[in-house]
Amino acid sequence: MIMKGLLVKERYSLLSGGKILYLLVFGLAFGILGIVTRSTFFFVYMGFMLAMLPYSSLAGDELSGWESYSLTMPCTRGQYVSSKYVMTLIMLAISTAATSLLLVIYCLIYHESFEIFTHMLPICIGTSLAMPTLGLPLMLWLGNEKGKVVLVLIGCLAGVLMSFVAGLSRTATSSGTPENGIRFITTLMLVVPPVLFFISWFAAVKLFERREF
Amino acid sequence: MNAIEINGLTKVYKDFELKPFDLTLPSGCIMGLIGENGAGKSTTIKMLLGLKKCDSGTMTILGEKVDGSAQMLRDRIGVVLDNIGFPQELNAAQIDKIMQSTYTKWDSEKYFSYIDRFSLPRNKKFKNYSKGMKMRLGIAAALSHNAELLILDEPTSGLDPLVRDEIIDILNEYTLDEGHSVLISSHIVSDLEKICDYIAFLHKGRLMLCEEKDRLLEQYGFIQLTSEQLKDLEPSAILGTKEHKFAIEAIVDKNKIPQSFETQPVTIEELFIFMAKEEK
Repeated sequence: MIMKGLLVKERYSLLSGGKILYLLVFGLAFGILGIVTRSTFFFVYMGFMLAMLPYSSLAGDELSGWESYSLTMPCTRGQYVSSKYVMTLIMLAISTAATSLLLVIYCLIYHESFEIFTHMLPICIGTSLAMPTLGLPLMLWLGNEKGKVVLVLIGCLAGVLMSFVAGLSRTATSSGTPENGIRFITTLMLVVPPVLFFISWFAAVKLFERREF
Repeated sequence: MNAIEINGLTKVYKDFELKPFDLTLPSGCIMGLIGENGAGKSTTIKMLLGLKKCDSGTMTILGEKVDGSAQMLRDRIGVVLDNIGFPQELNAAQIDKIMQSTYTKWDSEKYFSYIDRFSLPRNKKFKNYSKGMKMRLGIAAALSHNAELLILDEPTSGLDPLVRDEIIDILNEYTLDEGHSVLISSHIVSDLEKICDYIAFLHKGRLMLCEEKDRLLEQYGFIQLTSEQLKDLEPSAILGTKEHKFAIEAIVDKNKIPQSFETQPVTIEELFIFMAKEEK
């Protein structure tokens, strides 16, 4: 029941000012651009933006004092943290559904095989989970300002890692058909981001429990 | 069962220390936690609410130990912090929906009756409320889930006298029920003097006294005397002094001074000022 109260708050916050609507429209616009330019790369944006919404709401919580006020209610710090992660998963589900619709349209227009789902969806899901996985524990532990600084530093490190992964993919590709590279990234995206997301969830609870207000 | 029991509570920061103190709020009473800015009032309240960890000591609220597992205990406590932390984009009606799903005994009817009584708009966003309106909404929420204990941290700070008076009246009403207790912190002593049964003085991290208000007002009196007369008094009789050009003002324990001295009634505010200055 208590989690429900926190999720009701998240729902109101995300719906206020039409945030979700704007991002859905933006995401769809990118999707349409992807269809028109025949580049599935643009389909990634929808999930990336929507999954970031709960993470970006942390700043508002800190500014308004909701972060500390909610802890005077009958909810645990773990429940507060979990409300953010649950909303991230809900946003991910919405964006995955919308991306799937775009992929269906794409396949129908260009007579592509629906096998594209097996590549694109894991990549979209994996990319969407990246920022919340990194950002949520940092923001919950360090607060909005410090958390963002550390996140930028990690972003730079992530860029280096992504280049390394891309290099590995090229190596995998060079040793066989391009299919091997795509399969490698797809498998990586299917396993690593979800596992990291749940590790992040656990870590965020532990870090937030140590914080003082 | 006491509403609040604090034993040996301490908190140490780099530049401030809350020295070990004991404090008891009997059930059905109102205690005013008085102190200057930075005395440690908010720190004490935040430790009671689990927002800060104490370095040592124990705390019990409504018979239950305050620790990490005190989740359902907070269902029985109404809290008003100096910064009412409702999300800025929400309105009173939406806050009701959140609270309904959070508190087991949330009473929407009572909540909206307070909203109407305080003339608060139901559909206006919280960020567009004035400071007084925000505080009244916070109080409405704190009073609407049948809490046994109210904890308020500087609820009247920055508010005009009319709003402050209204809040004092509401707290008086709340404590008509003998099962209801209140801990209220403020540096506006005159507000607390009107409603409190117990007064606790915090000064620079030290609890200087914790006593029944009526007993304090009965025990201590205000006198004017010369420096020679001051020397003749027992040091333990003198709570604090203030020197002027031609005379000395002092707050004294009436039981420890000669009957010849004519004492005048003292206010809690004067008591606190004299004690704090004497401490310096």
